[in-house]
Amino acid sequence: MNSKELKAERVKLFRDAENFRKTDRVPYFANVVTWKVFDAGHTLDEAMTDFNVMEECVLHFLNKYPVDAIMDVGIRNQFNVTEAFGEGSYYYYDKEVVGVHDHAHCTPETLQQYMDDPIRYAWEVILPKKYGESWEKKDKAVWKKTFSEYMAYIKFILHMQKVMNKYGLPGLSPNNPMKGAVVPAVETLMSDLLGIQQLSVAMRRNPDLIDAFVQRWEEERMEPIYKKIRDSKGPDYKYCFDSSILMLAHNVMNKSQFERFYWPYLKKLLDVYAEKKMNIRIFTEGSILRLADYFKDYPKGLLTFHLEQDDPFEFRKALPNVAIMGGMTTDLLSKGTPEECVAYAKRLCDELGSEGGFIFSENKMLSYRNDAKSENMLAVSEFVQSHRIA
Amino acid sequence: MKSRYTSFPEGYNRVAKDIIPWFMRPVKDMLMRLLLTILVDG
Repeated sequence: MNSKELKAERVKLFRDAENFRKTDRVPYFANVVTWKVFDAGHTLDEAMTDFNVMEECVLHFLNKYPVDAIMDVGIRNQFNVTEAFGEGSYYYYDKEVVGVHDHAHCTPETLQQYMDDPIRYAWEVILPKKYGESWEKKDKAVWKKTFSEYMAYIKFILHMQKVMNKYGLPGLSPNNPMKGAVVPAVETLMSDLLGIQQLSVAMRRNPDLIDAFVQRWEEERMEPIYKKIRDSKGPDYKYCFDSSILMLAHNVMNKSQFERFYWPYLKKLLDVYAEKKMNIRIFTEGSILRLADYFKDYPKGLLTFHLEQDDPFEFRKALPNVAIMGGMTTDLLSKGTPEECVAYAKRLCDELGSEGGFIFSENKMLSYRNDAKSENMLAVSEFVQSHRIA
Repeated sequence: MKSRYTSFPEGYNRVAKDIIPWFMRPVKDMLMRLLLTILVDG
């Protein structure tokens, strides 16, 4: 089988699982990000600023572990562009850790200013704040150096796409950086514009400002997306999913806040995808079980929830219409034995995947050295590839 | 000394003109928006 055929076979395996069609084995989507850097014998600072080292780490992983897809082929965490521009204030990394501090580009009062002209706002508010006094001194040489690193980064992204094709690996979904991701309003409020603290306070003290922003986001950002989805031909079988959405902000909301600021808009988006019979992955960070009732009427095939903290067996009982991605915990991968990991993987595949509806994956993005032991990853990936569903 | 690129939209347009080569000018806005996204998010 050549790599093109292998990719097509894998996409079919993922799509069958999402649509609750019985498959002869469960597909494995490796939720692996920077853990592969340590596994290849490098440290984060070496890989994150050198494309050759990062590619070496990706190839090391792909040659060692039999997986059907991988969350990141080394393009998520690269710092050459931002470092060429100067030292910023909220992303950080060292040999062992990469992270982002809670940050806020706006206050509730400046949200409309941001929406009026996001480029102007980035230029006049966000970048001066991020780069401090040095912003005013960025000269032509700095901009040129940054642009040159930016072009090299795009070239690397395209190169790694070729690597994925060579290995027959399908991409997660068409939401890539070149096309832009689908981001619900409250998620952008929490992750960038207001941050966790300001959003939590604003939902209580300034709910009208949040309402106004969310409605404007809906009209200006989401409506064109709905149109694009409605005008599309339907599922795109080059990818495992037709869209991938991240949900995190629901964790800081009570039910009435979720009903006011989140659910009506999310429902609208899901309904449009449902019209086109598309397959959607939602990475439900934290826990989603307490909100299960909202999703219980969707038909099988539309939704796959990638679970982080929810128990997958409990989730299956609560939402039998939603496919599950995940299941394998980083706790077990890091502290268990290969035998324990394989026994749990077998239970997951047999109990959740016997009639489709299950994609094997890790509950968290494998990022740090101790997120998994190499021997456990090897045992689990070999098991999932070879285990046949009865 | 204050950079000639600080103001908006003059500085922004000047950056695009000074650093984006002529053959990429037709996609200037897309390139600038992506670059800004990386600088803001990364």
